[in-house]
Amino acid sequence: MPESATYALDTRGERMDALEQYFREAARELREPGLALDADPDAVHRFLHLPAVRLQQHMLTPARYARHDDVLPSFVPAEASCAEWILAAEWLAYGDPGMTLASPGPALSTVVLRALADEAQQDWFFGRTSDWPTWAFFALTEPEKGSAATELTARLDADPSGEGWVLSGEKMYIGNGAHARVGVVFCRRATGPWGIEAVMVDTGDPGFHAETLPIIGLRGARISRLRFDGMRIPPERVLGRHRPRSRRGLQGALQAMLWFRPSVAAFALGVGRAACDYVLEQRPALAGAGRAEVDGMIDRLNRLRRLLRDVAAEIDAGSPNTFRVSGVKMRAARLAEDATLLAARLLGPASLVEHPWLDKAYRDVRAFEFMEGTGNIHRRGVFQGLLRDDYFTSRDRDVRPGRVAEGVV
Amino acid sequence: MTTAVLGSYPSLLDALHADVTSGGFVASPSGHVLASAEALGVAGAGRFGRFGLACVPASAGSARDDATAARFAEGLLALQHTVLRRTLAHTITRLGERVSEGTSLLSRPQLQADLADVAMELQEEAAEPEEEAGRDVRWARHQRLTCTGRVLLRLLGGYSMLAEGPGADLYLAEVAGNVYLQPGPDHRVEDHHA
Repeated sequence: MPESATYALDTRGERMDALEQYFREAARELREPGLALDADPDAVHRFLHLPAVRLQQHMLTPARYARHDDVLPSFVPAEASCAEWILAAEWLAYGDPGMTLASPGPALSTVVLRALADEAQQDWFFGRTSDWPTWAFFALTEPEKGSAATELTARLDADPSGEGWVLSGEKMYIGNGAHARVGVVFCRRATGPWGIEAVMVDTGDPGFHAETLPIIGLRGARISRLRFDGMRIPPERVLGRHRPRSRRGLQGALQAMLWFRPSVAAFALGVGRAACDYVLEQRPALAGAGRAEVDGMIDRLNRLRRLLRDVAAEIDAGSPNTFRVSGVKMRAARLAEDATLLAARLLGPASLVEHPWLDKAYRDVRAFEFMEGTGNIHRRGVFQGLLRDDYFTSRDRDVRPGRVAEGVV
Repeated sequence: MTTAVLGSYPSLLDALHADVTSGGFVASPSGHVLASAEALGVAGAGRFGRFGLACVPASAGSARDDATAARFAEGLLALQHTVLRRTLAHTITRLGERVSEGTSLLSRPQLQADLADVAMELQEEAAEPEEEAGRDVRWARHQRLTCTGRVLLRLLGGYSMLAEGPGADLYLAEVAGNVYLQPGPDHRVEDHHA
C-alpha cells in the first residue's frame, strides 16, 4: 500500500491487529496468480501451496474438523467469527477476489451445516471438505427464480423404492459447482416455505451434471450450472431432519445469506481499496481534482468499513440487523464499481488496455452486485427497515422493550 | 430465452472502421487500434484480447487525422447506443418472462422506473443537436451511456456476467470508449508506430 493512502484505524485489540497484518501479508501473493486465474480459471491448482489459498478452508471449518499444519500460523482461527472472516475476506480480495473464491473449502455451505446438521451429517460433510484440496458448493439460485429462496422449484420427491428421496432440477450461477466434491442443494419437498429442504450431495453420485459457465469477470469463482437428474438422496442427507420443518431448509438458506452478505461487502471493499491504491501507485504525483476524488473514495471506503464491522459484530452477538446488512452489502458493491470506473478514468486513455490488473478488477467487481442478492433486493430490505424504524439503530443501542434477538450461527 | 443481442460488438466495430476509413483502421489518440481479433489477425496474441476484440499498436497506415477521428468517435457513440437499445429490449423481454410472487417482474414499480430512465436517457442521447460536439463532450456522453448500461446490467443480475450475454458487448463498448473517446491530460496525439 502506498504511504499516501491512509485508512481508519480502530481499537479492536492486538489479536485482530495481528490477524489483519497476517491477512494483509498473505494477500500480497495473490495478485499475479489472480491474473493467471483470469486467463485460465483451472490454474488454481498451481497455487494450492500458498497460505492465502488455505485460509478459506481453515477459517470456515468447525474447529473439531480443522487440520492444523505448518502452513498457517496458530493464531489464525478455525470456525472463524463473522468479524474475523470479513477481515480475511477484505484483504484476500485486496490481493485477488477470484483466487479467494477459487480456494478449496466448505464455502457458504459451512453456515448451513453449522446451523442445521446433526453430528453425523457434519462428520459426513466436513470429513470430506477437510481433505485437501476439496471444493464444495452452495446451490440455491435457479435459472428462472434467481436467489428467491421461497420460490425455488428444484424438487425433492419420495424415492419410489420407499426409502430416501430423488432430487431433480437445475441450479445456476453456483461457485465451484462443476469442480466440487460435495455440496448443499436447496429444493422443494412440498409447497410453502416450510416445504423447502437442504440436502447434501456427493457429486460422484449418478444424476449429477455440471458445467462451468464462461463469464466476464471473477472467473476464478468457476461459476457453474448444475442439473440434478433424478439424483438419489439417502434420508440421512436431508439436513436438519431432526428439527421441525419450520427450522430447517429455509432457515439454513437465510442464515447462510445473512452470514455471507458481509463477506461480499468485504470483497467489494477490498477490491475498491486496491483500485484506489493502484491509482496512487501508478500516479504518485496525482494532485488537484483527481487526488480529491481518490481521497473521497477512500473516505467512503473507511465509512463503509466501519459499518461493515458493526454489522458483523451484531451477527456474532446473535442479534443481526438484517436491513443494515443489506445496506452495507449493496453500498459496498456500488462503491467497488465506482472505484474501478474512477481508476480507469484517472489512469487515462487506454488504461483498460495498458493495465491488465485494472481491466480485471473492472470486470470482477460487477459480480458483487448480484452475489448474495441484487442491489434492488437490498434496497427493498432497507426500505422495510425504515418502515419498522429499525434501520439506523445499532443492536447494542436498541433498548426497546420486548426486542427479540434473532438467532444466527 | 433469446440470444439475439449477443456477441456482435467486434464485428460492428470492424464495420465502423471500414465505413470511416474505406477498409483500414482508425488509430486512437493514444496510438492504439481496437478491432476484432480476426480482422487484426492477432487471435490469442497482443496485450488485450477479450470476447473477440483485440488491441494492437497503431500502424503507420492507420487513419489519424482529426476529421476521421471525429467521425469514428461519433460512430462509436452510435454503436454504444445501438448496443444499449438492444440490451434494453432484451432486458424487458427477459424480466417479462420472470415471475416472482405470482407476478411478472415487470410489474414492480422500481424496475419500471429504472427501465423508463434508461429509455429517456437513450432518447435524449439520440437527439441530434445543432452544434457539433467536441471531444470532451463526446467523452461525457460516453460516460453517461456507460452509467445507463450499468443500470441494465444490474437489472439483469447474474445473467449480465455471462460472456455469451449482453454484458460482454456493453463491456467492450466501455473499453472502446476508454481507448478512443477518453481525452488525455492535454489532448495530445501520441505516435505509436508499429
